[in-house]
Amino acid sequence: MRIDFEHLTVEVSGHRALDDISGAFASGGVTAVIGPSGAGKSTLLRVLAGLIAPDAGRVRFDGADVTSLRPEERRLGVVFQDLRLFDFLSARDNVAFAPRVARVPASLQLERVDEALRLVRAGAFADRPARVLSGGERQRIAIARALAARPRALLLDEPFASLDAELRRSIREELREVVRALGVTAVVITHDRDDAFALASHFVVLSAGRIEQVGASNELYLHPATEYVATLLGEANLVAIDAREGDRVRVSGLVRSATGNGRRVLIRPEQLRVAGAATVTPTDGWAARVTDLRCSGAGWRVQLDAGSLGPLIAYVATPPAGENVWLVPPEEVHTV
Amino acid sequence: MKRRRPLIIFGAVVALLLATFLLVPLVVVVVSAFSPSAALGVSSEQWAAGAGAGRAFRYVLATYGAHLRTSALLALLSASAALALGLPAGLSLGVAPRTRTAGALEILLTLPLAMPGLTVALALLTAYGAYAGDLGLLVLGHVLYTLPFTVRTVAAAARMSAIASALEAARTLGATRVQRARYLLLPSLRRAAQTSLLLALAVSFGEFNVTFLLATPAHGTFPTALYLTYTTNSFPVAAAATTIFLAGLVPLLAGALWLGGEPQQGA
Repeated sequence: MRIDFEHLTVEVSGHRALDDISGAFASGGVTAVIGPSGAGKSTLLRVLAGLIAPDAGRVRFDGADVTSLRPEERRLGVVFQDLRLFDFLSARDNVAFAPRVARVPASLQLERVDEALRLVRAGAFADRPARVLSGGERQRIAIARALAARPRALLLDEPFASLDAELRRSIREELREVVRALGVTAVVITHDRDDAFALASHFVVLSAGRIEQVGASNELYLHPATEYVATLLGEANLVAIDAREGDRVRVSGLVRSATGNGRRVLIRPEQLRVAGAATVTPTDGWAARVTDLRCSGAGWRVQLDAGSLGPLIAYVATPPAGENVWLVPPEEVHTV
Repeated sequence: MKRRRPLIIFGAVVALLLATFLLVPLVVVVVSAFSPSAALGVSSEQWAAGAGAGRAFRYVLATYGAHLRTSALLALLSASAALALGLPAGLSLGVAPRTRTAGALEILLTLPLAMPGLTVALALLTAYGAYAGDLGLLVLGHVLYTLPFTVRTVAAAARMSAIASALEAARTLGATRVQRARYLLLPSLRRAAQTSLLLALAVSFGEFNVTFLLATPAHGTFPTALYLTYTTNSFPVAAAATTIFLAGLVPLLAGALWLGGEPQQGA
């Protein structure tokens, strides 16, 4: 199901939580709505779910105006940040809630519940009371409960906020598989770029109630429209441009072809090559000094002092041999 | 955990001593009701003779049986009314944002508990003097005292069970208003409703101050009968009446305590 929202405005206590925003979530796709706290992400989800009536604007499901429909009439599966399991019911009864209130025949109810439990690998603890489940188990049941409703779309509000790193990774992968297998439209609200990149192929970046940029995740990562988007989606080296000549820019003595019309060059840490003093000449790179070196597991995060360019960051596979190094930016850079 | 243990033991000992200090007079009264001899030094030869303790109990039931029935009826009516009013009011306060208005409303509902019963009774007589002597006015007086217990118990349960969030989740799962009430509200608040009903019954059963001014001889309650036994009868009769009163009150309080101590049943 395709979801469109047009000129949505929501005011909360005189503050515009959503400020005349429009956009769409493609049918069958997974889109991450990403932004910091207060950007309006959860407000957007609540408007889509029908839990808040917008002060202005419309919401359409497959072209049909659903703005005035109540939440119970929208047939969406919502996974809330605080999960909101019904603790006095068993895990299975939580999952059976939607088929039960939809008056699905008992045999079909059982089938749906078992299928949802199987999808999230929750069969082993399905008969335990919801209140005794661990964080990860509760998360799985919340997802299964939303899926058992056979929703036209899934809305997930910071779905992994309460999980530790390892559990977060495994449940994220499971959710990704489930959503892909079902082909359901999914909207993931998150402030966490790792969650966003792991789950979604498309991003909507929000800032202070307005849409900052929309696009494919890799496109936004490499070609952000603003410094805000650039830093939101990952660590970013932003270096001032000395001069621009057409599609080429000069930065601290180096000339590079450039996209974008910004005043600063964006170089992602993994795009910055760190080379030993013997392999690079001053015309190919910038001299820098290593100020900090941290192992990040798969590689190394190097913090550098590049003089007038300021502090820079590079990700490398092996740590630099010495303290003084050369930094080589990519041949083509993006400006913001 | 180990460091806390002495503190817990100290607290338990203090609580036990306090409970003993409070309960000893009551225990003396109850025991003396069953021992109409001079052994406790508080008996009377008149009641010690003949049929002993049974006689005092029989006398109380024969003389004040109507008072006991009125108390039971009054407790039932006022507790039911308090529950009927307190359940929606407590639920509304429990799910509403904790604004100043909501806080003020909650304090307003609790106000009768902080006021002398005679003042409340006088206010009721001033406002509804036309109904003086009517059982309805007595019920109203008792509802004023029992309502805070139902409202606060239900509101606390609604807050603890985060019922507003659960109801919102249920809406997204397709539950209609009736289904939300049936599958979420009732199971979540059932225990709170039961607890508050028992508390309201106990409070109404033991209420004296409002009743003292509002009740006519036709609607005398058992606490007013207690007052009569304390002022006009000998000690064994008063002790027997007190024991009958406690036999009605203690199970209600014990039930409320037991329900309140059960694991939280909330969404």
